[in-house]
Amino acid sequence: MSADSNLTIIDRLVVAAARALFGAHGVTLGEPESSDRDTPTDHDVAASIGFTAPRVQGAILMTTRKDIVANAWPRELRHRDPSEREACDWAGELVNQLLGRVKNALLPFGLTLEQSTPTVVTGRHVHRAPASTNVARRYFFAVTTGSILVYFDAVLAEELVLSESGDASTQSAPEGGIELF
Amino acid sequence: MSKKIIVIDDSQTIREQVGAALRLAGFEIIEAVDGVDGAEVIERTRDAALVICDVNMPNRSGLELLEGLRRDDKLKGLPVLMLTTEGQPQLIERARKSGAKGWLVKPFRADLLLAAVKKLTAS
Repeated sequence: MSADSNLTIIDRLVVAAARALFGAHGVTLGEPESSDRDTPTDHDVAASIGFTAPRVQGAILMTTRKDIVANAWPRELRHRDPSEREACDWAGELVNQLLGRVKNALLPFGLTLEQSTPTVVTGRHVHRAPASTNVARRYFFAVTTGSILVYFDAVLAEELVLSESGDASTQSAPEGGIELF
Repeated sequence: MSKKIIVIDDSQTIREQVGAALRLAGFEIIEAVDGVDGAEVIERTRDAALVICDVNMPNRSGLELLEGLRRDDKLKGLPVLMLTTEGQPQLIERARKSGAKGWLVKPFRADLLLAAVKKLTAS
């Protein structure tokens, strides 16, 4: 086990989480494309959420266009278009749900992340400045009308090795699932 | 008379999404934006039939709000359904022990939410 295996696991979990999340909201993401692709110049919204655990600190950042966020707008509200403010709120909720999926997927690896609340920024040509963390992953997803970029930036302690437990008690409740007590 | 459901979530979109799903079935929706606001709204709305509450929110978390309700003799019988991105078994158990009536992991399906709300407000 090595830092490389940690990255392989993180890549797998983040990509799966992003594709499942947007799929659940009606936006199909393909496999992520080459990480050295240029940063898109049309992204006008960025949503970020931080996380921490005893040997991990970091953040997930998502950048895209507001009209792509609007395409993932909940179907119960699709009788109208979201306002600018609503699109930003939804971008924050999407990154919150993305981190939620990643957090839940990391539970069997012995990592329990605490999270911040999301922050959303709008502007022109939004892009992330170079990260200084020892893990800085970038996932470019093409969608029908543009793209979504997801960044996973984290400081992982050198001794941390992600290893999946077979313990059923570490399994998350399923997304979309409901449990009544 | 419509049954009142208090929806507590820091995302306006989630509050509206839940409201849209439940208003169609005849429920009245009252919104609150975080755990502190939620506690005040619950205090003011004495005839609420159910609280639907996020977990991770600014100012006061949903679990702290839930635990506060259970210490209040006047409010401890109010059913609470947690609606959250969290799937951690320890958090679900903490909510169950604190008297929550259910746990729903986002993103949710409106039909499942509605079925749960009908069941929890049936009495």
